[in-house]
Amino acid sequence: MISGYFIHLLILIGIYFILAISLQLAVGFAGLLNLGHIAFFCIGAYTSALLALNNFPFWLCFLLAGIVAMLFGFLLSIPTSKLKGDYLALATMGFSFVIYAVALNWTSLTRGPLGLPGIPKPTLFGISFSDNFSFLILIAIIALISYLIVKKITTSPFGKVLEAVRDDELATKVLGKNTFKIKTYALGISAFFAGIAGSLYAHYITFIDPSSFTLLQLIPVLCIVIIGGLASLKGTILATIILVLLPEPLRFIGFPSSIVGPARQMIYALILLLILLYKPKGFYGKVELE
Amino acid sequence: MNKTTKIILLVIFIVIIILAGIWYGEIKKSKEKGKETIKIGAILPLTGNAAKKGEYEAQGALMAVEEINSQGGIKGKKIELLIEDSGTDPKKGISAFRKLVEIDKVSCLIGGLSSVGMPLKDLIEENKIPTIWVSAHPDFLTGTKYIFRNLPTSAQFVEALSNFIYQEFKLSKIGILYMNDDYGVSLKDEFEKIFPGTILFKEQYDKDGKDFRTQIIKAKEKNPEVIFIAGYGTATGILIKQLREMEVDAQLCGPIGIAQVDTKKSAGLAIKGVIYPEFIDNSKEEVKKFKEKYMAKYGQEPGVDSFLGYNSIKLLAYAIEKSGLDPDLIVDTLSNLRNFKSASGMLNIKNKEVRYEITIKKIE
Amino acid sequence: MIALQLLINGLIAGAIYALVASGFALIYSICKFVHFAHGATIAFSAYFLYFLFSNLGLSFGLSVVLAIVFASLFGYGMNFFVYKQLRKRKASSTTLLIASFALLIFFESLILLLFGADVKTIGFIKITKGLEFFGAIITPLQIFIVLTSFVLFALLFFFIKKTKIGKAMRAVADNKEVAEVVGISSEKIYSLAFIIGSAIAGVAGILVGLEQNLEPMMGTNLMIKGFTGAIIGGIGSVPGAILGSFLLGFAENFGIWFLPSGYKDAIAFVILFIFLLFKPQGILGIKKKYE
Repeated sequence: MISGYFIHLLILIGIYFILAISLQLAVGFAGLLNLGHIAFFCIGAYTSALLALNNFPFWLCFLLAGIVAMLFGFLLSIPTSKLKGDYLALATMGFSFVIYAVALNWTSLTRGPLGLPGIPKPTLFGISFSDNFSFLILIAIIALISYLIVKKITTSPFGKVLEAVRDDELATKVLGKNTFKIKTYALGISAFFAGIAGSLYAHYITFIDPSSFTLLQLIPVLCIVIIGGLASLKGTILATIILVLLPEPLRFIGFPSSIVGPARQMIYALILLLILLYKPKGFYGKVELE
Repeated sequence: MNKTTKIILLVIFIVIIILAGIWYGEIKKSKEKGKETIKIGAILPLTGNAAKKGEYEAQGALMAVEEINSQGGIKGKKIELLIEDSGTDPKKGISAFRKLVEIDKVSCLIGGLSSVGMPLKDLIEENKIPTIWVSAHPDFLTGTKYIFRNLPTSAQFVEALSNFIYQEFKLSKIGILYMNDDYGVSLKDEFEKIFPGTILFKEQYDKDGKDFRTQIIKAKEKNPEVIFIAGYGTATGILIKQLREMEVDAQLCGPIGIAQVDTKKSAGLAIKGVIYPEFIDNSKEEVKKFKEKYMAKYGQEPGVDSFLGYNSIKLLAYAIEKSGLDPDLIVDTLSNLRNFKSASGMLNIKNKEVRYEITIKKIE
Repeated sequence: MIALQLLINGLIAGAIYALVASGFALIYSICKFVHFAHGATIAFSAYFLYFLFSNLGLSFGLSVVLAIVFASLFGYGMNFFVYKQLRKRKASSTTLLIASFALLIFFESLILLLFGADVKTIGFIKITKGLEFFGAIITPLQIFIVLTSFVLFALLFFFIKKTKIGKAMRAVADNKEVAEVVGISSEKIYSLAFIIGSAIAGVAGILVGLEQNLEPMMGTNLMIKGFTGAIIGGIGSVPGAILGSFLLGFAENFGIWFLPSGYKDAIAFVILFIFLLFKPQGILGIKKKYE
């Protein structure tokens, strides 16, 4: 009984973690303030759900979710690569609105506001991950692998160049690096992981609709990235755990879910403000926002 | 490292608070009862566009639970009704379901709204939870064993309305404005199938919308004699108000939800003359008695969903009394139910649907 | 006539968006950052009006005045408690943007918590019968909205162009450092920008609340439209923002004649995205100091 609830929280931590490290890669390491990150999450979720509902095997849905999202990441990089700071943030935000509008209106594909119900639970190598505990194991493994891959990327020479681009793009260009290509890769990889997080989300909740992918959903993820500290994977892990768990005690003090819901958002927003005011580097951040 | 230790301590602290909360919650629960209870879950839209429906259904269900408990419960055990808010959002419905089934371990479920119920179908079947749900959606019962429907289907409503309009009013040029959820879409589909006249247009409107004037202009262009409004709740009321503001004179009709308090309130005076199908007969003795009791308890008149909530609980309680808590036995008992005395008169269950008779009414 | 009706609908929508955009653009042009939380000012003032009028039963006129005052104070408060503090710590405009975003979410969630998710009505106007001209319908409230917006814009324009304080605001908008050298306190001007801008937002909130009813996300939704209008017209320019908003209103309403109605918001989003990518300085292209 207790374990059912905890497993649910752990699964959420897993999904948020993958989303957060993907955003961290773009924001913290590449210096790309991508406020439209949820769009990749959305694309991954819908891709995986639609394929699964058409009886494609889970591993294919999962990978394609990441790949399709990654392609959109590459696409987004083209027009936005010249933009800086505020304008990049706003343009990427605009992108997430457009994706949301597509999900809502392209009803022949996505069923619009009716959403996609009945998304099957994953089956891999003949094992069905239909109960929560086995799903948790699956997510834990995927989260671990994602972490290792991202860690490898950030500590590799590519990672160093990425941080150089973040810190001083002009200088890096002068040194002969193709910053456009580098930023594009970064955004693409970031999108890939957001896409697979989307796939996991879709298969866990078994129902997705456009309302799961609005700007509001970005807040917890953005909070995690900033609070954990930009360019720190360690910070991201800790921040994910804290932020997912923090509002939960509210449920036990007996507040009904109509209060717990908005209270969660308020807590996140408040923490974000406090961090920006008093500790802009977050827990372990190497840099501040711009 | 000092900083990491601090943070890890923070995490452990939070986990301890959560554990403490759960432990406290458990102690409280076991103190309150000491005896086992029969747990029935309810997933209702207590917030959002359909909040009034949710309120009515919750109140009706609670009234039933109290009545049963005051008469000793079911074979001595009291019923505990655990209500969760779906907020008209299917995702919240799914989390609510998980909580009720995995944590609270409810034996049966009631609830409302097609948009919330449809995505729950698979979960209900997987977990074998006998469920009585208020949904008009035509596909709601397909492929299910444990689900029962407590509302006439869209097909039944639409048939009644369609016949009335075509035969009584002799009107044949109709347009459809339908809400963008499973309920609205199913009503529109049924109407298209059954109406013998010409359908001039089909425009969708947002269940959370506030400005429908563009759809209304398009509708006005086509000059319909009748407009079928497939929706419920405050958004639908606003739509009706704006239709009259924009001087659309067509005869308006809609499903049962159109006559409820929230729609009437947001439509204001524009609601006059709207026709709708009714299936709770106000002239019956049982209905009058129920209304009195409800009024005395809650200080407001019951809505249709109040009757439905009440009936759902009474049906489940009866089945549990007869066959215990085994889901398959409960389903068997309910499937063959005849002449059951409910708040709205005698009920039969056929093909896992509660049967009602429909008449057409006009809002004065 | 359909075209006239669409034109009128566009005018009404444009007026509302312009009210939102003008306050926002005023703040942006002077303080040089994106104050998303402007949406919270709009929503909160509408709900405050609801609270005073429908819950407490105060007279309508008094409630309106109090709501506008509240809006100004609210905006001023956000500047004082959050933005000013961040500026003291040398925060970049990006940080301020994220902070404003957090403020918006915070206050909208607060509204959700205090008032619930269902749509609320301010029951001041009971029966609205539209007035007809040449086959198009407009209600008295809608006429009032359009007129009020024009009056406000005229006042704003007069204030900025003709008064001394207005000149000081323009000075800070053009070049903060030079303005300070001449003795203008930029912090004071910032506060003033927030007060005026938020008051306009308050008016917007009230009018939208009367015309369209209240729901917790109304601030974010209006903010996105107003913001789009401001970007189309040129975000650093108040007249540009107003022009852009009317253009957006027309584009949306004429657009849905051809497309299914659900695409209304999509039109705004796509226009926003395209402008941000290709013409971020907008039509009037005024961004005098490109940092």
